[in-house]
Amino acid sequence: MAVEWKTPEGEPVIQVHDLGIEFLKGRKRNLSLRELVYRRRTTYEKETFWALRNVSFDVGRAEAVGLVGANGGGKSTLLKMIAGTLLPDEGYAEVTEGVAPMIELTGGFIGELSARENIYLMAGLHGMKKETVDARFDDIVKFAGPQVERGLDLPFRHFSSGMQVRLGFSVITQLDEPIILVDEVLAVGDRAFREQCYKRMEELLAEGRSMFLVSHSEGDLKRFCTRGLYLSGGTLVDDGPMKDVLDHYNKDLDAGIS
Amino acid sequence: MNSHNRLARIWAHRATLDTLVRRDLRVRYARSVLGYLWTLIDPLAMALVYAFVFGFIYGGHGKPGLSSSSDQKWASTDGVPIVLFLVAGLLAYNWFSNVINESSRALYAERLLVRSTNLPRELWVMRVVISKGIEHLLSLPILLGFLVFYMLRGEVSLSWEIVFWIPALIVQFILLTGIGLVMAPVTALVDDFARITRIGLRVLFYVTPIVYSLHFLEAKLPEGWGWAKVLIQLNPLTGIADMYRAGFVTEYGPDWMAWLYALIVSLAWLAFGSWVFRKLEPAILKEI
Repeated sequence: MAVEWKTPEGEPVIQVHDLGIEFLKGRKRNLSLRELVYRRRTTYEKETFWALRNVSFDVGRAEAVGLVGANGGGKSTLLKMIAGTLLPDEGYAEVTEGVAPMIELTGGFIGELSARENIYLMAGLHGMKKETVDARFDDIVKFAGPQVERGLDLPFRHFSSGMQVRLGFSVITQLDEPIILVDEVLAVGDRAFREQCYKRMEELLAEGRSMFLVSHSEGDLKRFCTRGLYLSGGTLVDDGPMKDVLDHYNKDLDAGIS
Repeated sequence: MNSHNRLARIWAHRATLDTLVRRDLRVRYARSVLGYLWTLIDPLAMALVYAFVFGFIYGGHGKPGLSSSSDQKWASTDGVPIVLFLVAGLLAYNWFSNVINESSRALYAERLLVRSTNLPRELWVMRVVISKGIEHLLSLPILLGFLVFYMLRGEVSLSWEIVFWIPALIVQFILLTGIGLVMAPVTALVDDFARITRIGLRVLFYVTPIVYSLHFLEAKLPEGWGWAKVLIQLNPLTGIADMYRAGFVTEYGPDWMAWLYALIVSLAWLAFGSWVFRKLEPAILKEI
């Protein structure tokens, strides 16, 4: 199955230009009305930090990009901005193709509904038509494994967390979107399932998709990615072949910089 | 992104909206034994309580002769039996208050989904308005039931103006979408806001002509208080409730002024809501 691109060949599918996002530091979720009113008198303005700033790069068709960097470097933030689930304060991240986000995989499932209903719901939320879900339903279930298959009509809350992630992965990888975003989801699941996931991702890549992978596993990065981006302290430190970027990152780690 | 693009994106995702609404209704009606009956029982119980308090205790329609206003039956409700008059306003008010309460949690309650899907975020609000709207439609048989009951007793007659239920639904949909677009982001950012709106809703119930009619209020207002009437007409729910009653209130014609205000105020809310939502969207996504 070939991937359908809307973008003309040779043009980037992801354009990130001067991207920046600012967060409040050490803030509880909500502001109270009092804080909002007196905001100017407090040190509010100083309590922010840039999770990402001045980040620019392009990604073309069929590129597999690995993001490396220490915790807090801005990897997940960048991924979310490409997925469109965070909006920039500076610059832009323009994505001209559909995105299949493997971020918070089990977030959309509802415990009260059956697994079957949840599959339709989740696929629908990510833009899959009902007929397409009908056609791929068996594949989705089969990929998620025999335990899921046996419990299709049980309420979803009876599923173990591992089974939930399996089903989430299984649904998202059936989307036809040309760009895949993967945020460390491979760390969960047992070894057999991980192997299955690797295989599936290789298939997706072989079909010519673009991919973004966030991972702390050097093996995974080398296996899937050709290009690497190294983020540190919210800025893009290195952009090049995966192997070189990893060397750079490891050198920084040894020197205690990152 | 400008408003036109936003609208186009929402339209492109209408199938998703449909999925979300179906999910809401399935969760709501699949979980309880009585299911649909709750949609009827709840407003029915409230209507009977209000009718008892305002119709029989305060209204004095118990024994003929005891009441001071017995010369003009149902004076406080435009000559219509109080239960019927009240249910028309109450159902509209219920839709309103359900949406306000629910939309204040619309983004936060679904934060896992909001964080993992790139849908137009307005959908999370519209979905609440529509699901509650369908529940509202499903509760209209109560009003129809009372209408038929009183028609059979010969106490009211029905006119073609019953078709004004349709503009009532449309105007209220616009109004609720606008207010919901303000409620959802603001309550996600400011804790206290939900409490303020709870008080506001309670006040709103009594400043909307639900348990009394605007004509009755007007007659009771002291000299020089004409502005109070205009203020109540400016409340969009006044016009909306009046549209629901146009088909069976025969003593007075429709309150066109209130209708016009309802439409204008609703459109203004929609514009204001879209603006607020667009302004707060980046902040919300960081916070949830």
